[in-house]
Amino acid sequence: MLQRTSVVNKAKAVVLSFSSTFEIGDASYFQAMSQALAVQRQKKIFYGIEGSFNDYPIFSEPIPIPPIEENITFHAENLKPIIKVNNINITGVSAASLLQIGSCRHLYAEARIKHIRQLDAPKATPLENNLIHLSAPNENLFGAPTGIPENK
Amino acid sequence: MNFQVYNRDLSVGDISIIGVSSSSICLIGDAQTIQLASTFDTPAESLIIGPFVPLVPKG
Repeated sequence: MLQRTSVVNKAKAVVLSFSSTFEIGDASYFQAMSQALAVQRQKKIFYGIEGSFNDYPIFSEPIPIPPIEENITFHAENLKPIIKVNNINITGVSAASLLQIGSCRHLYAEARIKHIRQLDAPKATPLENNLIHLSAPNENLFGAPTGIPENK
Repeated sequence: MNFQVYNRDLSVGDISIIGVSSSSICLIGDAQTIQLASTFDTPAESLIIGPFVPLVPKG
């Protein structure tokens, strides 16, 4: 079934990171998994005891995958058994991803990301000092004549 | 269901991709099954404004 040959003239990938694969050739099974705890903290504080995946259910909960209920009879006729690509240019391959030139029978990839932001609390200031009292347009704040006659 | 495919000429010039990220696939070839799953959790509790305390386990 997987009889087609992939022909690529030139391929360029700049960055491959976090459980990602660049496969040249065929494979029968591909499985990749990536777990990330993405913490953005406003101040440079590292406690060193944080970041256990067990603390967060997102890393253990099952991911439901829709079942294949229908019986499909699949037949491919490769009249021209070649896949031709002149040039591939990819900047980044990341987090349980795959870039493959060739065929693969079964592919499974899983990425779980928990995103946490920690920001500094705004500093409390006394209310009286920083409040600017706004007055109505015809109300004089200081009680002195303004010189502008009121329209009536 | 009967699914019949005729693979004729397939010739591509240039492929330009910025990023293949979080359980994605760029495949120049054939595949029988592809299953890709990705979860991303950033609930309201994950935005913590206040003193910098160690991360507490919260769903």
